[in-house]
Amino acid sequence: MATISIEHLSKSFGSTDILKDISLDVKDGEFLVLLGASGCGKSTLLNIIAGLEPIADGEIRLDGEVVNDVHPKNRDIAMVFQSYALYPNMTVERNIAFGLEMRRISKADRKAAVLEVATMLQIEHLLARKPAQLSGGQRQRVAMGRALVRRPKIFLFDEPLSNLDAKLRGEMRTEIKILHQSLKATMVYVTHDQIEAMTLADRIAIMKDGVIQQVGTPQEIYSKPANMYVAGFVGAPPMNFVEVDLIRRDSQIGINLPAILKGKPKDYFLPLETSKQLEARENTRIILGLRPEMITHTAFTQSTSAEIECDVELLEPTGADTLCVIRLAGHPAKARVSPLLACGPGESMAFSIDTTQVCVFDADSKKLISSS
Amino acid sequence: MSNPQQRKQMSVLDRLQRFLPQLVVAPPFLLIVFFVYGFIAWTGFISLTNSRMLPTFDFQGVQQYVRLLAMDRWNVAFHNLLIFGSLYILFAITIGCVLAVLLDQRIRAEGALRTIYLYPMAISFIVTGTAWKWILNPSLGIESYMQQLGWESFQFDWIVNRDMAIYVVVIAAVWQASGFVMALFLSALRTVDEDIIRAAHLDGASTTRIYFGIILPSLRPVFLSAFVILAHLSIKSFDLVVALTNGGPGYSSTLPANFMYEMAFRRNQIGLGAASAMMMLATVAAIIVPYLYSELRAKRHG
Repeated sequence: MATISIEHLSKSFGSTDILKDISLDVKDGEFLVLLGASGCGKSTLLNIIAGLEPIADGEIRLDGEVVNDVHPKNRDIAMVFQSYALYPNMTVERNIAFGLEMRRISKADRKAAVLEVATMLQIEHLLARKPAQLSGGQRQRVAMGRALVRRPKIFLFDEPLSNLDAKLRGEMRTEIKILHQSLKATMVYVTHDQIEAMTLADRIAIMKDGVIQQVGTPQEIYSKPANMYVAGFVGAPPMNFVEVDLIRRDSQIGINLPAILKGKPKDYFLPLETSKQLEARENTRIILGLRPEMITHTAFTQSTSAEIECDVELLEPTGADTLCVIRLAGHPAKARVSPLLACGPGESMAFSIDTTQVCVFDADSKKLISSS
Repeated sequence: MSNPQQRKQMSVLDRLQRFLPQLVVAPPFLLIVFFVYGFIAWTGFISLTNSRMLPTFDFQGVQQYVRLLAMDRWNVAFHNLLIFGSLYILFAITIGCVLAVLLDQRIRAEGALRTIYLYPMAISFIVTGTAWKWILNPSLGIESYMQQLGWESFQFDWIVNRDMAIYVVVIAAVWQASGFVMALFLSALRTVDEDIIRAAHLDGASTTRIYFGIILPSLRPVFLSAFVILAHLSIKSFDLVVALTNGGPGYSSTLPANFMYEMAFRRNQIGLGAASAMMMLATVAAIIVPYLYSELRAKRHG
């Protein structure tokens, strides 16, 4: 059993506010990812959970117990650092066993525990080496082993994969996920990589400038982003934004989407699903959020979706899909089409827009008005 | 018509370009070969002759070394070097290291303190020696001050004590060098990954344990550098002794460098002086050569 509960937490360095009134709950056995750009305060929040940074305001509870002033070593927390933070003068074996040594566990027990963890992480052949003799991926595993061996209540990860190359990162991501499923431990994971966040998390908390923007499952975050920041941060390539007026035509609420066909501007009417929130905003400025996969080739799509035809400026093949850069309301937008159906750059092509999935944001507050 | 000529000019320039590094490096290289290694060889040669006031070529083998090792004055100087060298290195490293660890705690006014500790290194040994001579003089310095304060029986007369005078040299030298060693350690401590300290905290290690178990052992190269620098400083120590005790009382606090100077330039015993100089060179080499060897070997492997 291990839950984390943070209430109205604030933290500042000098006159800079790093964290502003953070409240967050992590359930037992949950994998929570703190996602945000660098400098958003996510690492500071993690250090606070670990007890490595003092708190100015607010409360932090582990299993319901206030731990504001509890020393890190008494919190039963293990942490994996971005730099791995291995002890350079000790062998891998002592690195892993150090936490147990400090907790006065007998030598024989230590040896057994280290061996078990090392076998699990496939590093038993490295036990006699020093960190300087290891590759980045091996160091990463040792750092994981050092966290695992103590069997703590809570695991904290501070961008543990960001120093690895892309292939290794993918492998380690899978291993961390398997690890979480087998240990069923509470884990908090900090990253700036939205793919890591989407693939690993039970829930994601997106942070910006010391404020949590949204907490939700990866699917919620993806399909119902609370605001434009979240919408733009999650998803690759990012969501396309089009600033337009919300209008009504023939009793159907919708927007006029300005596109370009054969070099000339052309407006298409895009009907939106009627809702109370939208009706209340009739004739106001809104921002329409379209994920690239919502704009796609017309073949095989339902007849209910709206169709537009416009010039393709550029093609970005990614293998499975090809991204077509088109121009909507004066700004480049990306459409995701099948490579077989993509036309050449400079030609015009018909796209279908799945209006049932779009997100509508307020033009001033940038907050989500409605999504389907 | 001008083409072949131009090509020829170019090729002269090109050749010059190719040899430019050698041309630039050659003069200092030759100067070093002549004035350092040449004179080492010359001194080595002189030490094998019976030169007195002027160099002679009267070759007499290791006679000067035999004389040297039989002299009480030389044995006192060499014994002093062992005492001075070991205590100087030990205390300078210990004190420097402790100061660095204390300064590493991100305290306020760190910049000012660092300058204060480092400042002695900027003072010449003559000034250090003279100042400490006054401070430790029984009738001027600490002893008389404490007695004036009312502690009549207070005694601190090492500087005029035949058995203790060399320890006075140690005190002054340590005072001068600890700040430098501190700077050396502090810069190394600053490169230690802060996450390592955090990880150790989470692992449950105390701050003392973190320093002694993790950080200081990982600073081994710095210990080695400090040792080598201090070792050769101690072997060539000369001016501090001159200013502080002038080798006295008697010759009880002389170091080999003082012995060499005395013999070569004041007593017309050039051969003997050269022999003592060669002995010092051998001592330095005994420390530096293994160090260089381990450094170069590490580089080749890395």
